[in-house]
Amino acid sequence: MPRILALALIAMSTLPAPALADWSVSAAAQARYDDNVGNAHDYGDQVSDEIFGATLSALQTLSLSDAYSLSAGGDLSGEWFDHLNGLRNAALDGVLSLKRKWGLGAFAPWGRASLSVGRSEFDDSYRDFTAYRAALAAGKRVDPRLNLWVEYSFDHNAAAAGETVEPGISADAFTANGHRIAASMEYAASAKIFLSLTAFARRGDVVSTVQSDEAIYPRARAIEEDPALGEDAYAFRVIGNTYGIRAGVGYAVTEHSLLGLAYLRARTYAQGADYMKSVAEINWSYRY
Amino acid sequence: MQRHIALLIAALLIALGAFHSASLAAAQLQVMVKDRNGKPVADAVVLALPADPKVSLRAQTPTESVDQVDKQFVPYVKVIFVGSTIRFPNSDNIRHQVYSFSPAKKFELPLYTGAQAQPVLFEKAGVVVLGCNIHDWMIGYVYVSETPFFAKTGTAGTALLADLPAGDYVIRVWQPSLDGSEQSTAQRIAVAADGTNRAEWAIKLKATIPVPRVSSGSSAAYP
Repeated sequence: MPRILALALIAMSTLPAPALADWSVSAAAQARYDDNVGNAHDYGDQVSDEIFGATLSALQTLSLSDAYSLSAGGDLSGEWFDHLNGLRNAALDGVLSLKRKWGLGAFAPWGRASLSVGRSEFDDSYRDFTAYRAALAAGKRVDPRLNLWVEYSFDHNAAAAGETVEPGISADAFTANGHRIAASMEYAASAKIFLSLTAFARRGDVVSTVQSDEAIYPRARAIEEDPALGEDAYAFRVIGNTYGIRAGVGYAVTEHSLLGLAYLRARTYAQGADYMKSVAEINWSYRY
Repeated sequence: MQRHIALLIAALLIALGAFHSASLAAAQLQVMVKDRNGKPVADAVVLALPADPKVSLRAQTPTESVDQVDKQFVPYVKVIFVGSTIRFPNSDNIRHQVYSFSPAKKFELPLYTGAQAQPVLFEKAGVVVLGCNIHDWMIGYVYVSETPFFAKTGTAGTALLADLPAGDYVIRVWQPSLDGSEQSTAQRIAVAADGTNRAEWAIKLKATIPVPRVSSGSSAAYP
């Protein structure tokens, strides 16, 4: 974690500050309850926890022309798990995106391509990974109340392999790929109250941590010890399809800050290791 | 006899002149604009159109200014006389791209900083809605008035039309959130030469939802 902080300081000190670029600095904090942190199939394996997180973001947007803008920036974030100490982590992400608007104004359709790279480091360092993500998004504000957008993304998490658990099966459980599509809408119920809804589907590797499950062995692409979730816990990487929905309500406390409540419900079908996950969240964000 | 007639005509001319002067004497009209709940309405444009079509509506057309400060148009509502020009200086240290799709004036100022943008001539009366192509929440209004007799309410809801020639006027009120047509607010009133004339308008406002500056979905739409 100290290495992440050092990297963040170096990155911030080297950021250019052209006068014509639009800086967007934001801060966010959240508290959430996850009823199935380890993505376990059996109720007996499921571990819940309260998680407190904070994120600092800085993004610099340069308008290249009437239609194109280029953004570059980074996030520094941290998560503090109330009980699962090994999952406490810090992350540093950098993002580069190119946005195009087809037309002038708030109601012109837009598209965006973005690439991001991030490093997450955990108290239990065997979970550390480098995250790569490429995304394509498009959207349109229909009117001042209704905003719609869709996104496709590919994510790849690269982690180091652990000690072999099962001969012939990879011990690199935390290296994972996935394709995700999402459709989102936001509706302004009033000038201060926003309702949001995102439906998503993801196909790819999922990591399910259980105490011992003979049934999952033959389906596992990788198995690795996962003591952050228990002494006899093993992380299994399997292929799964996840379908979920996230609903939220936000209240604009000021012109720059938003207080929100959100609830996520997702179901993953993973060749018999299916699992459900519910996350309730309260969040606050400030953008200047 | 001829001398008496000449004196009479002279007296009549003097009397008519005095009457004419009195009718053109500058008067003041203070208008209080409230909503249906009795709350003062800010940023309401009050227009006075002379009932007498012979009254000249000619006036100077100075160059006015609408600034951009902290990614907002300042002022939010600007009233000008038709034929005036407006400069759009940018006091932010980032670039803005001001545009309008309004029938009264369509224009676009390509990305700029400082005071680089050319002034814009508003040669047609009507409401011009301003936006910034980079910052979607930025919205402002230019009201291009067909009469030189206009004023805008402040936070107290009052507008003072000074230097108004005495006479009859049709008064109209417009505000960005006005529910209904501006014509529906029209009332005829007589403005006396002496003192400050006072009038009160009650207008119905509709709930308007601006494009939010910060929202839960903003990460997808901005930047």
